[in-house]
Amino acid sequence: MIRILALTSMDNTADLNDAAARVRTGHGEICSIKKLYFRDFEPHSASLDPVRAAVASADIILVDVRSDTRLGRSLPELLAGRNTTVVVLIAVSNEIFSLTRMGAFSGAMMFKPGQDRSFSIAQYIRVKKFTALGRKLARLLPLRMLRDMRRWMLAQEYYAQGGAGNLYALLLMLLKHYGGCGQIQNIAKPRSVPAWGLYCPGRGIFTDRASYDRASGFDPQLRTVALLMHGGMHFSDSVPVADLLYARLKPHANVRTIFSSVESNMEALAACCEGVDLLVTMQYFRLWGGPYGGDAEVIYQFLRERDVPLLAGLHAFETELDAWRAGSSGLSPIETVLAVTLPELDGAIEPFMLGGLEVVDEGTIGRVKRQAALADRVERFSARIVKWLSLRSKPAAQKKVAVISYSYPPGEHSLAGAGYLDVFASLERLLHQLRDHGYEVDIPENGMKKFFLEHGIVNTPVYQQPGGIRMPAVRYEKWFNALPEAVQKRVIDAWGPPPGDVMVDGTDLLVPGAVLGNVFIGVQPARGDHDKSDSLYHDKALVPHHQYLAFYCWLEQKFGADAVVHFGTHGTLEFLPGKEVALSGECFPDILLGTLPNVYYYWVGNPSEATIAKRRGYALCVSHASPSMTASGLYEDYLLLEDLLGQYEADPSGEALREIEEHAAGLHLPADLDGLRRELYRMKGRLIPHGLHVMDKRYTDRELRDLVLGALQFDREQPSLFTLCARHLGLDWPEVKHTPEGERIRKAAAQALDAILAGTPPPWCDAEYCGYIHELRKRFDFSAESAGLLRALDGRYIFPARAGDPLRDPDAYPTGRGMYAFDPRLIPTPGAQARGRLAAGKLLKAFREKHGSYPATVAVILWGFETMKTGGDTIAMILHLLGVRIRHRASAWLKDLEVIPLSELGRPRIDVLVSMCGIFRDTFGTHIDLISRACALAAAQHEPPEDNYIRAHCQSLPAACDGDMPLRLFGPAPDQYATGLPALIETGAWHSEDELGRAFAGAMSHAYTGGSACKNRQALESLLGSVAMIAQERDGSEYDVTDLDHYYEFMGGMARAAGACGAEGADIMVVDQAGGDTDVEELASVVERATRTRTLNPRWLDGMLAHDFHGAKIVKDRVEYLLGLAATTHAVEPWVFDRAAERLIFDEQMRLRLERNNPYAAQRTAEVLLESNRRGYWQASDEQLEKLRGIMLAMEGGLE
Amino acid sequence: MAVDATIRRAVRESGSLAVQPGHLMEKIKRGQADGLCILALDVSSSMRMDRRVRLAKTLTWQFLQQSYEKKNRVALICFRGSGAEVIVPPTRDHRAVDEALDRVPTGGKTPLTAALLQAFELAEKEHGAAVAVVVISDGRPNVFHTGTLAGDARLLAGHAGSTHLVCVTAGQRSRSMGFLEELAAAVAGEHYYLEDLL
Repeated sequence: MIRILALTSMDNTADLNDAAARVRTGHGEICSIKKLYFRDFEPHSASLDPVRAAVASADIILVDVRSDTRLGRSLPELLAGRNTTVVVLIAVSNEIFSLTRMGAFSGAMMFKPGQDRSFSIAQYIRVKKFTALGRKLARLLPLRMLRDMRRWMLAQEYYAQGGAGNLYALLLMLLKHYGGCGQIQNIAKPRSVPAWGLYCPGRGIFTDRASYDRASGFDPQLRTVALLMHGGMHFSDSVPVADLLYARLKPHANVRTIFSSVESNMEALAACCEGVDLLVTMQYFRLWGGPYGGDAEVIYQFLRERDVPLLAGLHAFETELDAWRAGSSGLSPIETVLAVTLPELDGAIEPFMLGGLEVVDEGTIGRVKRQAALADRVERFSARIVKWLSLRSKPAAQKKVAVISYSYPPGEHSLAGAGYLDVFASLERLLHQLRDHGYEVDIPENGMKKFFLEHGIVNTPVYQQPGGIRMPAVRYEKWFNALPEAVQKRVIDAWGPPPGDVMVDGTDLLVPGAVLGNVFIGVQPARGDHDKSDSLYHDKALVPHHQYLAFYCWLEQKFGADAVVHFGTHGTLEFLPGKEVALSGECFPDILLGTLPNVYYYWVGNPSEATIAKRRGYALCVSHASPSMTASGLYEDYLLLEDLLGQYEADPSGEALREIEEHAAGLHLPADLDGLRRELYRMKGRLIPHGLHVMDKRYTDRELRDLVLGALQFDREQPSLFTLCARHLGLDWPEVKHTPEGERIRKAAAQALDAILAGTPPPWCDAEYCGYIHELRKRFDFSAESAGLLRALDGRYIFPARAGDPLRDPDAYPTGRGMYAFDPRLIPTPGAQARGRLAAGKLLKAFREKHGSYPATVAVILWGFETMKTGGDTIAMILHLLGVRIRHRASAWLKDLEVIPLSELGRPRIDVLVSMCGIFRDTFGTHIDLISRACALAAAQHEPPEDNYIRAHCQSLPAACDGDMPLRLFGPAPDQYATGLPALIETGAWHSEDELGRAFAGAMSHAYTGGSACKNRQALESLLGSVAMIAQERDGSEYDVTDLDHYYEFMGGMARAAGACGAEGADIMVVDQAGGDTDVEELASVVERATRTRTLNPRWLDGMLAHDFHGAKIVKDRVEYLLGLAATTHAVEPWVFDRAAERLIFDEQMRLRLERNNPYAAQRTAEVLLESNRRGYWQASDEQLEKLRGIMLAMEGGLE
Repeated sequence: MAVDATIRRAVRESGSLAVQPGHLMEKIKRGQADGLCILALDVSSSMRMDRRVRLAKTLTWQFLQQSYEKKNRVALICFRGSGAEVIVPPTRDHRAVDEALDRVPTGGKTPLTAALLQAFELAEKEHGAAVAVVVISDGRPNVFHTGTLAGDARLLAGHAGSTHLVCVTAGQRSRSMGFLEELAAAVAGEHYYLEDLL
């Protein structure tokens, strides 16, 4: 009996099982087949012994490795030194192909390990290439060898064509020639199906569209949907879902089911998509090019011409449905990349789970898995498709659109907030555009602010009477009772039976919004954690309350919305409990959206959270621009100080020096002249956002110039303008950046830019460089945001673009396009690796200078936010701290790690504690594995403990290890995103700082490794005690550390948690990459500079307060974040609060401006200052306090 | 002398109505039983924040329950907008207060001074009975009698007399303006934070 072992990543084993059964029926018990599933061995804790045993006893081994898996990486070692027949059918690397051994033929003859470039063209599906290669080799090889090589190629063809019949023939061929079963005769040739065609369920396969249309009963009255499924070996995998989807859609639309092998896609689509209104891809990879990628332009051109939405139907080819149902991740990281991330690059939206593997029974080969469709998911997906079709066919005048703003945290002060967007002004613009486009819409006469406040469109209003639309609780209950029972139970457990008590008036639930013709405008219900603050209860997995559910139920069922538009960055729907991706009918975002298409007006600078919105909120993101950016400049006393410095330089005198020192001390600036100068230059040149963006707003010439200048800070293929200018002046830019020369260069660069834009470039600037600058300007000087939204609402194709920081990545512009994230397979990019290395070096240098030693453990905050925008700086920094690097490979699919020898590293390997947010986990699953492997690799080096801290900790802190695997990557629980600290700070519901640390440690204590996540607070806490430094990157100029609650939430939360575990006083460092180079600094200085250049800076304040209502809200937020930072990091000096109080509250003119802008936010600002005093972060004088109390009471009186 | 109790004791101990000196029972005046608890509840706009009104009502119900068990009389004053209103005058009908609480509207300014003055006035009419005033408010008065916060604080301290004042600051301790704390200290009353009581 010949034992065949299938080490294949093809997990649908129904065909293989059939083939094995046929062998038995036709030829008796001549062989046994055993199949091992790669997934079973992915967790590091899974023993490979069963594989070793299976390999040892096998006679023939079939290999198919398509992604970077643990088993794949271990194969060379597992198969080493064996004389078994090994048939490598598909592989991602030459190394694996070279393992082929069939008779006299060895893969090593054709494939040289390491030289992957030579193979990158040879896709696994391109059998023809092998044949051509074979023909060439034929002339060179001995006959016997040639024969075996041909059999190998034949095996590939059988496998590639797929289906039970071909697999049966493949087995026979192998048994006959390599299993001693010479008696086998009449082996069928590979039976090929067409490379592409149309599959009509129940009717068979067609190769021309016309006959297919006839067979499927094409109805010219109906809209047409094209479904693209896999052909070749994956055809049978795709049939169950295709059949069901066809059946569900057929009553509503014409359906063309196209099958195609990936290399024939464009041909197939071109031939079959005539007159199509919507395209669903159910294939892995991008539409064109398969695993190695093709020319994206080909796809874009096709999609632009068709101008239809592209939706992504998901199959789990690896995940079992039972695991999907029970788990929270949805798909495996690699499935997510293949089925979700890559199609997103083409502009695909709505990644929707349709089917996966079902374990059928114990077959002759062991566990047999086959593809099955998920009936309820297919049903819902079909309904969503029908909605998209109706967006295409309904005239604008009949379309109903719900535009959703936010009111979070609840209360008037934060009404209609969104990241760097003037929501009220933009809404007004959108309403006008809708009306001009033919929509029925009544535009409120007195502006949006009045409209919201007077109608009481606020979550839990304090001063206004709650208004909005009433939805009888009985109506809601009917809908609620139809939800899955498990869902009902979760909601009732958290909020009681419907209607609960949030935004309930009598027997009605309040829908905060109003209907203006065919357009609904309202605010998304609050998350609920603030409403529960009374019980000090902050459940991060809090399910939405009844009114939240009722709101969306009302939109879909009562209002009858054709689509919703979420307006600005960002709401909370996409962060509600559920799976990471490939949602089920029990995931809250899916329940809430129902069948509603979701168009999301999103800030272009936030690709990571946009990705969550796209995957979990089925959003079609249409990007909006960043605010204009400008240099902070100096003001008031800082300006005076600069003057004094200038005077002193011209005429040094003791008295002038004393005056300088006096002023510097008054401003809490460094006393030494060099330090002082440096700080003033840094302040002056620091880029700050100037105001907010308004939909469709074009930048002024001045703003354009500032933006282009900002973008020109970065070296790209073209050097930075500052570098060029410095070179021209014989200087080195990074060196002189913060010196008087730097100031000179800055001026020269600005002048040069003006000259170039005016068409009179300086002589040292060549035509190509001028062209580059004009190109940049053109990119920024364009906006078609409302046009993009209108196109989306017409059900047309939204051209995708890589989102990011416009200064770092100007390709993100123009806005008004779709958004996709950096291809995770390319992360970390070579640029990021260089920056990460530099950052790690600078952090360690700073630590050594201060403490004379290396930090035992560096706690690193890792977000998806900066990872996507920088291409993975932080990941590279982590690797470098560990002394590990990526060995470069040509293929995007593999990342091999190697240790940097200690001799080269020149320092110990530093231990790391990585704290990642949930967004990173959801979008970079493959990198969780990479980081854990790097940690394991560093810890496995046999080096003395003084040279290898992670190894030393593995011995001294055993709780932080799981067997051999050091646990170094921690994050929130699988269905959660962050720490919950902001809600604590916002509600003030905390008593001691330790509570904040405990909240952080409690929320962030899930230890992640490749393939597993489990709560392990002990591991986290044992490591926390060793933390000597906390580091986080700041990636762009839009947000400084005082501009985002997430900075105190993570850096501060970590500091408090470390403090509670005995590591009080760890250095908190910011790695600032915003300005194009790597500055490493202590948080306290960064906070001071950020406050000086932003919150206290008249230029910044003027920019913000130019936007009614939103401006003061932003000011209020900043003061609140200062309190958060003070409480968690202790890096806010009392004078900062003092200045903030003087500037914002005690300065009567400013206070009145704030009050006129947004009285609720002004009042809250004063309240936060008072709280800062009560908590001991600000030592206000008695007079100040008395004054503050008086002001607060007056403001409150005004509000009430 | 408590006649009824003396007779009951005589019957119980000697089996007859013959009262002996040892059976004499004295009537003891139990202040609490005749006491009055005036609940002054802030129902201004800012009490809507973080659902303070609801919590304040919850606490009021707890006081009510306690008064009921001690057989005290109760009164309810609510204040918002331009003034304070005696919603339920002193009564033993606890249910009346209970029901009134359900119907109290919210919103408007915070006339804390007016409310306390009214409470003290009610207390004065009690002619020496034990009276406690429990005020539940976020402690952010903004309708003043004297024109200033400090002036009103002095005014109130002067009117408190022998009334026992219990102040409860609704809302977070960390966000309190300190007004009720100071007032309680000035009249030797008690002060609590709502978050500590619930």
